[in-house]
Amino acid sequence: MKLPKQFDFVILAMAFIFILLTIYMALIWRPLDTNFEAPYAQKIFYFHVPVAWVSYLAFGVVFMGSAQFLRTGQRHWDTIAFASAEIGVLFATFVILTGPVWGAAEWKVYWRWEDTKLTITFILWLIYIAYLVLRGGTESEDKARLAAVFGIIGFICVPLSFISSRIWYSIHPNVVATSSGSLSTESGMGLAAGVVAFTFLYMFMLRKRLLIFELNEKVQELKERIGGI
Amino acid sequence: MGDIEALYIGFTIIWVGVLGYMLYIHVIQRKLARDLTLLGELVKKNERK
Repeated sequence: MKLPKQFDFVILAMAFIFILLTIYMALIWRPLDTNFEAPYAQKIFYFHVPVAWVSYLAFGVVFMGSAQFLRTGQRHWDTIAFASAEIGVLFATFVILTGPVWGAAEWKVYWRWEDTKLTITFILWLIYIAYLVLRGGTESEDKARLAAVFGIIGFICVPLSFISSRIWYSIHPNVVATSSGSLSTESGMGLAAGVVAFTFLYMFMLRKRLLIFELNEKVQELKERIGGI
Repeated sequence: MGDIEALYIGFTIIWVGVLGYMLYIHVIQRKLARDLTLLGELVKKNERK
């Protein structure tokens, strides 16, 4: 879809404004939460949770793009899925790294394999790395179809990762408030600002990544026209 | 790991990662745009011949 160049500037500006707002709300506006052993480290959640949300969103786009590619056979759906998977893995890497940093301060251990939320999120990360390896560096239609199937099946881990701490053993805090949840309105506002900021950032990155695929295709076309360089 | 230290490290991981990736896509985009211009000129020269 062709959108004016100003659109990129607007989404980047929105991301920047909401990033500043999130930093202000998380680090200055919100007081220290003394319910935690490590109240300063707890502020990582204002970034860790939005980043996790964006990785789920990105993998949702991979699912949608892959399903559309298999249904219609149009290559641009596969390109959208591939670009989104790359950004999703980047954000999931932030989740995988910042979680243990918080865990080291709060639990005094980096990782707990017995915790289903942590383990499923780690598996989710590995699945989409495998997707990138499978899909990357190939223009073959068959491999792209195989990767699309992988992208669809792998998406099962996204809802599992989200609900795992509610249905199985997990000491990972439930950040999304329930009726008995611990999230205050102010903390919710801080998290919401972060979610909006990182969603705009994801949109900007996805558009840039798609532009790169488009440019690369044109470069390859020209190279073929002059007999390959 | 210390409390404040964890906050600094977590914060740094995310922002260094975000800025690093933005720089990476910017550099690739610039390189491809340059390649496209050069190859476009080469194609035009070949067509004139």
